[in-house]
Amino acid sequence: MVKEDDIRAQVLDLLAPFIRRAPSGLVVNDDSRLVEDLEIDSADTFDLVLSLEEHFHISVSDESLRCFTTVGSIVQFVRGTTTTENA
Amino acid sequence: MCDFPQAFLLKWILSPGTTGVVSGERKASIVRVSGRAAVTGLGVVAPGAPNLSAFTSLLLEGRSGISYRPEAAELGLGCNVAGVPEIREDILNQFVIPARRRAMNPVISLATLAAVESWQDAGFALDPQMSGPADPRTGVVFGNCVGGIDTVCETIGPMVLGGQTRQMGSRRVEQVMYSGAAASVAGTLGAGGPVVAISTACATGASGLVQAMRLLRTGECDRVIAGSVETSNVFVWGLFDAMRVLTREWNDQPERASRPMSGSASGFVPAGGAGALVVERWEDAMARGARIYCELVGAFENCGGQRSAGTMSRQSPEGMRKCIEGALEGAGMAPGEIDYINGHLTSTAGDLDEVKALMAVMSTGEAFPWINSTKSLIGHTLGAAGSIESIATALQLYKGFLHLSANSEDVHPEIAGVGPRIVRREQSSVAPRTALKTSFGFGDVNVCLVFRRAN
Repeated sequence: MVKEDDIRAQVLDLLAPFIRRAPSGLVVNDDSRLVEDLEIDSADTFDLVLSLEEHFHISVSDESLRCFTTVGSIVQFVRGTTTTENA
Repeated sequence: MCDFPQAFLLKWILSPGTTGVVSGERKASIVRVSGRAAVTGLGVVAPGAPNLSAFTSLLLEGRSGISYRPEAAELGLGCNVAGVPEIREDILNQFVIPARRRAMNPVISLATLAAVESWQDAGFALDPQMSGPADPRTGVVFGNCVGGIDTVCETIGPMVLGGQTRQMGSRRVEQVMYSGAAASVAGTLGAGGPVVAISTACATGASGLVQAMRLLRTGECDRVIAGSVETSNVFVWGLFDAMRVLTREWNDQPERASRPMSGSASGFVPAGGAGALVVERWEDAMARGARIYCELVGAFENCGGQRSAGTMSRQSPEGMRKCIEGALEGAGMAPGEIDYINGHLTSTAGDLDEVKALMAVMSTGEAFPWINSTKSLIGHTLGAAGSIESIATALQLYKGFLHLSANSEDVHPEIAGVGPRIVRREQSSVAPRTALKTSFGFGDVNVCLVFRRAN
């Protein structure tokens, strides 16, 4: 099973190309909000999902996508999905 | 600052009958309103010249940017030569954040490169992080002819037909929407005025300058980035190769393939690139001490209406002549006051019609202006041609030279009268004071611009 810290690091790597917020002084953690803090727009979110699906070999439904509000919510989703799929 | 009251101008510009119908009054579509328009910034990506500095050198040296394209040969195209612009990723990455960069296909990359260069060349600051407010007094007019056709053919078509629509991602719309280039330029520069796409086929770039002039003169903008873009790839080449309008006889000599006004011309050389010009109110440019390349003195656009021998793919001689006359009238200049013509001149039979129309309007013999074709060096950049060639015109006026019109040693006998006025290397030191730029496009649409040296 993949460790949560490893998942977090990989999610952050996948998130990086979508962040529009200026990098100076930007701190990204589990509480960072995708829209308000990182300025990732809704169209970017769909592309992020494609990256997550390809990287983690998972499937993200449109319903699950609505839960993607913070970095932590993505990490938890991936963790839960990979745990289930790897169980 | 204005020659005419604003209310009059708006009424005049926007009144019915301003669409340039040939049978109507010519005055109806003349852009001659108030104020003066200064060209203060240039940006370009052309075949063999990835930026303004390289493009200036290419013109000064009379060097060809056309090359042999094995991919065209492998696909069985008749024309295996083309002008392909280099997209400098390293430059793009300097001012485009990754989140925006990933949405850029070639057409948007080229447009952005040219627009940013023009903006900085004009002396304006660029904020790569796009953190400041938009400027409501800056407008963008940016167009193209066939746009993101490579994205349609290489990505959208195969993925949709292959049942992979979901995997296409969210950025394909902005890559192929007609206003994609204009919108991307506006976003990169923070333009908050009118942001519009424009298309008149191969006259697109010149039409953008007409529109820019209108925006300045109606007072809607203080400055406008006017530009156009075209990609160069097998899909674009294939469109025109199928029409048999591309040359097929010079595949082994790429630099000799584009032969405007030549008796051995056999079709045009397809090319791509982007050009952008910052045009601003003369008074503003002077007040901020900007370098002024030249003044856009007048402009005229019309359509032959596909009558009087005009068709979708051939200009009506009468329409071309009226357009040239209209531009001169709009500039308030007599034919004899034009020193130099940067022709549309593509290396097709259309050259003969164009030169004959020019001969009908301009003084003949030694009084005929010097004439050259930028396409003889870089090929036909289609929708980008009007912008790139206007940049070439501005550079020649500003720096005081004329670039070689290549491959016209054997002038076509029907236009032999202008032969001595075609620019050879010997005329490179001629410094024109005024210039007429012609641009023509499918649909029988015509645009003529008149430029004047700033000092």
